[in-house]
This record gives sequence, structure tokens and C-alpha cells, in this order.
Amino acid sequence: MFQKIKNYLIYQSISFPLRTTILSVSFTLFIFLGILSFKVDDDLVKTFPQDLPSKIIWDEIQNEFGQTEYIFVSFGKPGKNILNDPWAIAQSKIFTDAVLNQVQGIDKIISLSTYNKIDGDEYELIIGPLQDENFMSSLNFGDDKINNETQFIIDDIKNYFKKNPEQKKRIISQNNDFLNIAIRPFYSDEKDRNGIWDVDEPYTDSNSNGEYDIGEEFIDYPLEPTNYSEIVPPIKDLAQIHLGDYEIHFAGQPYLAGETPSLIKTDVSTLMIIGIIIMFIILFLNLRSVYAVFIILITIIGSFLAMLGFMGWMRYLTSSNYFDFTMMNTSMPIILLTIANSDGVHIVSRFFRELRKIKNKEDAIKITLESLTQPIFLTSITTSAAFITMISSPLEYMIGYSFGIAFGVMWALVLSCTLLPSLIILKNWSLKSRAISNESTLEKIASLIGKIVVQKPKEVLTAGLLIVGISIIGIWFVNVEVNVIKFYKQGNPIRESTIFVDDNFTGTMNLSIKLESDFTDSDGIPDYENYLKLYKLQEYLEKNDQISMTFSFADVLSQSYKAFTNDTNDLIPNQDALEGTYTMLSISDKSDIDDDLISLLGKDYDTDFYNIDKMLVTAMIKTISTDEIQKLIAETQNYIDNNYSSENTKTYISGLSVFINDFVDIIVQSSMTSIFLSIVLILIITGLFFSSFKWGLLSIIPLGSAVVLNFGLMGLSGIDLNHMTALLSSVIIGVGVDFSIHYISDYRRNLINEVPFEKINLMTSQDVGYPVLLDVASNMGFIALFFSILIPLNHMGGLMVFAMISTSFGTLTILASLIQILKVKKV
Amino acid sequence: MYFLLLAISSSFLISEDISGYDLAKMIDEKKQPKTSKSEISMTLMDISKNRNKTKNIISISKDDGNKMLMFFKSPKRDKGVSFLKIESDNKDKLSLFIPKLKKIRRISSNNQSDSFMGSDLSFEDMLSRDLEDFDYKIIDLEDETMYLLESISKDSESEYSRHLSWITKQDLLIKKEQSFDKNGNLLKEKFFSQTFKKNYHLISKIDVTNIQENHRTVLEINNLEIDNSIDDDVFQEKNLKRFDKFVK
Repeated sequence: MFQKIKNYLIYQSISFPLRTTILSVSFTLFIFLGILSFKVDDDLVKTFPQDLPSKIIWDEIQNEFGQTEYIFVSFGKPGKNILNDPWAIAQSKIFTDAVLNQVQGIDKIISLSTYNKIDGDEYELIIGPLQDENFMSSLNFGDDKINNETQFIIDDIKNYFKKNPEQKKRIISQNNDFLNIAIRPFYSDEKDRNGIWDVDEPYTDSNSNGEYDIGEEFIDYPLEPTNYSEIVPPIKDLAQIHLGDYEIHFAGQPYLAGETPSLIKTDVSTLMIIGIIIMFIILFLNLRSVYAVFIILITIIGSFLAMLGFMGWMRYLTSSNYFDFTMMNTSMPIILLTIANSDGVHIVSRFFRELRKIKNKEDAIKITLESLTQPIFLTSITTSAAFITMISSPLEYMIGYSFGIAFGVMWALVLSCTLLPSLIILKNWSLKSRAISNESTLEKIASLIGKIVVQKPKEVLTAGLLIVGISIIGIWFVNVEVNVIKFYKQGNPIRESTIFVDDNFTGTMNLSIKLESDFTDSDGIPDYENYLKLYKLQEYLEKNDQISMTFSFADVLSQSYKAFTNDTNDLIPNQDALEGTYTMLSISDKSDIDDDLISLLGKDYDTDFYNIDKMLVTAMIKTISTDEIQKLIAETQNYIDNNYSSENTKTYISGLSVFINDFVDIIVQSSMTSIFLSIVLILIITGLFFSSFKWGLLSIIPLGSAVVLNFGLMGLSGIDLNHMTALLSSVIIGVGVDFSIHYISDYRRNLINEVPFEKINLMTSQDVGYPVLLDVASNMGFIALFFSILIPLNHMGGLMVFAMISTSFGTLTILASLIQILKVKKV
Repeated sequence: MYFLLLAISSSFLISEDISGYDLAKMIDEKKQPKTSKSEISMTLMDISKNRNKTKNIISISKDDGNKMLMFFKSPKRDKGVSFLKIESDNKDKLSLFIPKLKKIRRISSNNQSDSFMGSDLSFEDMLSRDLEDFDYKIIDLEDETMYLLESISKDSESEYSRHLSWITKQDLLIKKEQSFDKNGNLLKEKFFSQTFKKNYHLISKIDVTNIQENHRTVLEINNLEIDNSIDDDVFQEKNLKRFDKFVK
């Protein structure tokens, strides 16, 4: 059957090259029509696994307490006290109102103009806005002088922060020169808000006597509330419009999650083009024919277009958004480029070698296809199978990824067996051209390697295994790092802004600890022991250098108690005082802090504080590494285990940072599982295809070596394992199996053709070694990824290059020398 | 107390072309009990969460409700919390005592829109309305037994912009009132029930719903004793701390 198809394709390509070309291009374009249903989606959160325990807890927390993550916008002029600049305070309010009213998907903003104080004296408890609502109307528009009313309002703010330095940290920078605005997007279930105002009407503040515009550059953003990548751009635009006179810094996990996917895509697409140009140059230098390089690129581009079209068609036919092109899919073009290039390079380089020997175009392509159709078919099957094993991943979106790549790989096979040979036939090749008549440098190197392997197989094998052995040590040093901010290089504005906000305010990451216990009973009587434990938990957390502050309902109680009793101690001293504080709060007007109370006690909290059975403690942390987060979580859990009885109190630790941490653990674990599954699958497929377990085993040896070499190098050179670098294992397997199958297939063909055993390995090395080395060389274009602003992309570039070297090394040295030593003479 | 201000005496005969101001003045000048003592049960209802709780209060008042002392008997946590109101032409004085904190809290004029003890009545609702603080207008109604009086606030510090009151022509009893916030949106809706005792129409029940917060408070006034002798000395801050003396 396979033989019949192979012969049919060879016949069609040689006999009807134009028709075959038109048909294959037409089919490719038809598949590409699927692009009409193709969708790019930058929503990173949507791609997260939904059934991960920490995601379930995080969802529950957000469902009860609202979104826990904030986008931070901080602005000011270094060295100038921002509270002495009433216009900065005014701009902060204008920007706050603009974001709240103009950007859909925003739940709440904590800024100077929305911040609520709990203040008072011996007689009075005041819960309400810190910034007097007459501030805007008090301003002298058109006059730089600060009038008495404005000054009085500002002094009031200064005095409050002087009394409450912990609260100041949330709004004013350490040097008093920057204001911080924390923007909380809606949690995904909260989709009922419509925050768009009529863009044709200038916005005015109805509470102020003096009306003021927030500007005329209103933009109507049609946003989905949960998609950070759609929320971040309008916030940045509004910041530029209203805070443009100041230095602005953006930070926070939703900001990074919203900003990073588009940056990665932009970076990858730019650098990919550079990579392809480099690839083009390297291929040209070796093949010395523009046409040859052109037809390889046509094959790559054709398979790439077919892959995109396939995803569109699948999206259209299945209505599944698993076939959306998300941030995770960014590596697809890189992977497909590598694999499709391999097919093209093998065919063209082999054709050149055959043409040089046979001097006849048709015969040369016939022999080439007869030699390569089977291994290319097998490599495509094994590579596709390897990618399809990724559907075992807990990430549902990997379904689209793996089937998309698998289809692209199979279409590269189709084009390599139809379009590519037809295009070769369509050209009149000059036998006197340098491309045909002379061996290239890489061919000479391949010959040299072959000779060394044949002459000194044991030494080559020993050296190869020694290198792999040394690399194994590196595996123990592989570090998992998934903190998105660590993806950016030092000096990058995004990273620097995050560090700025971390250093000057309370930190941009957080841990959310949900406590379930009887904090108050059905009569509203609080449990003082529980309060004390909560107070001590926060005290314990704040002792940790990485935690800049914590807050919970205990702080509201303490603040109210202090404000009312003039006590300076944060701790409410006894049961009576706690009961009294609860009473006082229950009878106070809490309408201004209702949102805050929801985020501390949950949306179902009782306004009289009866039956309070859950609270959320939030620990604000500076940006720390994944390793440090894991340590922090473990220590916190340990403290809770030792201090809370599991019978009386249930605790849950979560937050975006915790969830991402678990999420990547899953990716890394599933990548490892995928590697194992792929290797087993390849062993079975090649074993069945070659009807020999021996050949199956031999085919996975270079593969295993390459995987070990790559991960070892990561550990030894300090390259972090994250969801991008973990995916590289797929590339290694995809490429590695190609090389070994080509080698084994050619070796077996030489055995069948009864080539003398002494010559087989050398001949195979020369025939297969050259395209393998050319494939490796042309993929050096990935060096372009070194110029990315994102460290994982730099690493990915480096690892891609290394993966190519390690897989070719595994094939041309370890596999070749092993075959030589084992004296394999049976097919 | 505001609702006791509405205690109405006998029937009235009013000419058809009465002005809004005259109507308000007639209500304001109506004879009321000199003193009163009652037990109030205040039920707070969170409508959206389907959650109710009841607080029991002892209320003592004098001078048309201008002086008032209240003690919370229950729930357990709030037992002993007391409230004192003294209205005068110069300055109204509102004080709250929280026994567990041993502190008296004064309610400033800035905080009069705050909720009273978590209910849907604000401290402003607890005060008598000054006749001159409003512009009045009678709005035509199809129901010929009722007046609809619009009271538009002139006080910039009030939490309300205006009130609409449905008043019986027969007895000048307020049966329903809608209060609107500063932006002109409906904020509260109140329904009143009266009982007739010793020649006075006295409020027996107030049902207030905060439309914007979807929260409701029902006050039921029981065991009402009127025109007993109550000393002026009762209405002093020091008595806020004397729960045991006033509540048996």
C-alpha cells in the first residue's frame, strides 16, 4: 500500500510536475482558507487548566471575595513631594474616574480619591473618603497658587497618613514622590457591569461645583471583562492622556499577564523573520542555489499556512476555542519551521548528491524520493505522534496545539513529496553549477565525521557517552522559574517598573489566605481567640522580609478600635473591647467601605457581623522567584498547621502567583510524561515499521542522549525551566527522531542494496550526515531569538540551537558508532 | 424621634386651597404627648440575602420627641448600647454609648446621614424636621382622601433632596413617604401605621426600605406609655451608662 502511494507520488511529480505543483498549491490555499475562522486570543488566564486544585481554590476565593489581583499604575516626579502638587492629586482622581467609567471590566480602584479612612477621636468614628469630595471644586483652575481650602484638604490627608504609615504605603511612595493607583479587574464571573459612558459627552464630575473635563480623547473600548490583554492597553492609553506629564510605572500580575503575550508574539514574529533570513543565507551558502533555497522555503511556508488554516477549520467545524491561537501557541511556528525545514533540506541535498553522481535530473529525484519518502513518512508519523501525546497534558488548549502541529508536520510531508519534487523537476539544473558539481563544506565535514566513526567507533562512543554522563549532573541543577517578571531582562522598562513599584509601595504580588472558622456566632459575639490567632498570623507573615504588609478584617477592627479609643496599640486587648468594636462597627455607616468589607469577609457578609465564618488575609509581596514563593507557601502552611486546629479552622492558600506556580509544575510534569510517552511511542512505531525491536531501540538512543544533554545544559548553564523551555523537549524529540530515522533508514537501505559492510556506515554518514548538518546549520537562524527582550525566548533560541547540535551529535556519533561497534548486518 | 413627631391628634377641617407650607405647618403644630416610653422591636432585613435580625429597644422621650434616650436590650452583643438625642435651636446633640468600650460617641452633623444602629433610618431621620428647611408643594392626586406633599430640602447638608409624603385629609396622618437622594434618585420608601390612644394618633409601626441597598427595617412600637412624668435630668450623657436603672 505504502509502496503504491510512494510510486504514485513519484510518478506524478516527475511526469506532471506543473499539474502536481498547481494541485498541491491549490490544496494548501484551500486549507489556508480556514484562516477566515482563525482567532488570535491573548487571554492567558483562559488557557489555564480549570480543574487544578489551586485554581479551584483561587476561583472560589475570587467568587467570594472578588478579584485578588491588581494592576498598579504609579506616577510622579522623582524627588518632588507629590502631596505638595494638587494638580497631581487632581490628575489621580481624573484618571481613576476615567478608568472606572471608560474601561469595561474594571471592578474597583484604590487610589487617593477612592481611599477610605477609618478615623476619629474620643467621641467620633469617621468611616469615609480620605480625600474630601470638595477637593476638585476647591482647586483654582488657571492659578498655580494653592488656596486655603485645597491646602486644608491636603493637610488632612497628610495628617492621616502620618498617623497611619502602614496605610500610606499603599498609596504614597517611600520618598513621597509617587502616587499609586491599584486597579482591580472584575473576576471572570462578574460580567454584568457596563462601565462605558457616552463617548460623545464630555465627562464632568457631578459632585464638584467646578466642572472639569477629563479630556477629549475618549475611546470606546469594546472589552471582555476578564481578558487582561484587553484591559491593559486602554489603561495605558488613559494613563498617557491624564498622567502623561509625570513619570509612569505599570506593574502587577494582571498587567504582566496582559502585556506579556502580545510582547512575546510581536517579538517572536519579528525575530522569526530575522531567523528565516539567517536560515535562507545559511542554506544558500551551502546549497549555492537561490532556487533550491526558495523551494525549501516554499515548502515551509506552505505547511505553516496549512497549519494556521487547519486550526481555523477545526475552530469552524468543532466550534471549540481550543483551536484559538493563544500565547501558548507562539512556539508553533518555530517548531514547524524546524521540522518542515528538515524534510526540505533532506530532499534537496540528497537530490544534489544524486544528480552529481547520476547526472540525470529525473533519475536523481526518483532515487532521492525512493530513498527518502519512507523515512520522511516515518519521521512525520513519529513526530506527529510525539506531539499528539501532548493531549495527555492537563491543559485543554494543548489539544489545539498538538493537533495543529501534527497537521502541519503531515502537510510538510505531503508538500515534500509532491510540491518539492515537482518544483525540482520544473527547473533546468546545470550540472556544471557549483551547487551540483562541488561538495560543500558541510558535506566534507559529514564525510570526516563518518570516517572518524568508522575508524574509531569505541573512542567516539566513549566520548559521546562521557559527555552525556557529565550532562546528567546538570539535570539536578535545573531550576523551575515561572514568575513572569523574571522573563524580562534587567533594565527592561517592564521589569524596572515592577521593581520600582515593589520597592516604593507594598509589592505587586500577593498571597491570599482564606480562613474558615467561627469568627462570630449567631448573636454576633466574636471569638477573641480566633481574632488573636489571626492577628498573630499577620504578625508572623509580616516578619518575613518578602512580605511588605498584610491586611484582613482584623486590621479594620484594630483601626476602628484605635480611632475610637485613641489607643496606639494595634491589638484589641480583650474580649470586651473586641465585642465593643464589633458593635461600634455594626452600627456605623459602612456604605463607603462595603467593597472593602466584601474583599475581606466575602460577598455574603452580614453588615451586623453575625455568623462571620470566613475571612481573607492578603499578604502583599515583592516580586520573588518561584523557588522563593514555594518556600514562602510551605512556611506559611507550616505555621498554620502548627497554630490552627484543623477541626476548628480550615485554611486555603492561593493567589495568582500560587496558581501559576502549580500550573507550571503541571506543565513541566506533563512535558516529562510527554517525553516518556513519546519515546515509548517512537520505539513502538519504528520497531513495527522496521519490523525489528533492535532498530526501534537504536532509534531512541540518540533521542534520549539529546534530551539528557539539553536538560543537563540547562541545569549547568542556569537556564530556567518554564513552560516555554519545557516545550522544547518536543522539538528535541521531533528533530532527534527525524535524524535517527533517516540514519537507520539509509543504513538499512544500504544493507538491502548489499553495500559492503565496511563501507555502509561511511556511506550512510555521508548521505545522511550532510542533510543533518545542513538542517542543523540552517536552524542556527534561531540565534535571532537571542535579541528578544524576553529571557525565555533568549533561552529558547539558545536551546533550539543546542537541541539541533545535540540531536545531530546523538545520531552521527553515538548511534553511528554503536551500529559500527555492534556490527549490525541484519535488516 | 421623627416618627413620634408624626403622632397626630384629632381630625382636621382644612380648606381646599391650602398651601404646601400651611399643610406642613399644621402637621408640625399638632398636639403631641408630653412624654412617652415604649418598647421598640427593630427588625433588620437584608432582602437580597434573605437575612433578618431583631433588636429590642427601650425608648424614653419628652418635649415632642426633642429629647430622647434609648437603650438596647438585645441582641446579647449590643445589650447596653444607648443613644441620647437632645434637639435644640442652637445645636442638636446626638450621643451613643458603647458599654464594652466604655466610650461615648458623638454624632457630628457631618455624620447624620449615617445609619442608625445598622437600620435603614439615618440619624437625620431621627431628628425633627425644621419647617423652614424646606420648600413645600402640594401635588394633585386622583385619590381625593389624600394629600401628596412635596418637601424640597434647602439644607445642603441633608442627605435628601426632597420627600414625597402621602397624608390623609381626614386626620393628617402620614401613611407613606418617599425620600430622594441628592441626585434625585429614590433612596427610601417608608410606610407608617398608627394607633389611636388617649386622643392621639400614635405611630405603631414604621416599615422603611432602602431601595438602593435593598435593605428593609421594620420598627414596631409596643407597650406605649404616654404623658407620664419624666424628669429633664433623665436626658443627660451620664445616664447613657445607666442601663440597669432604666431597663428593668
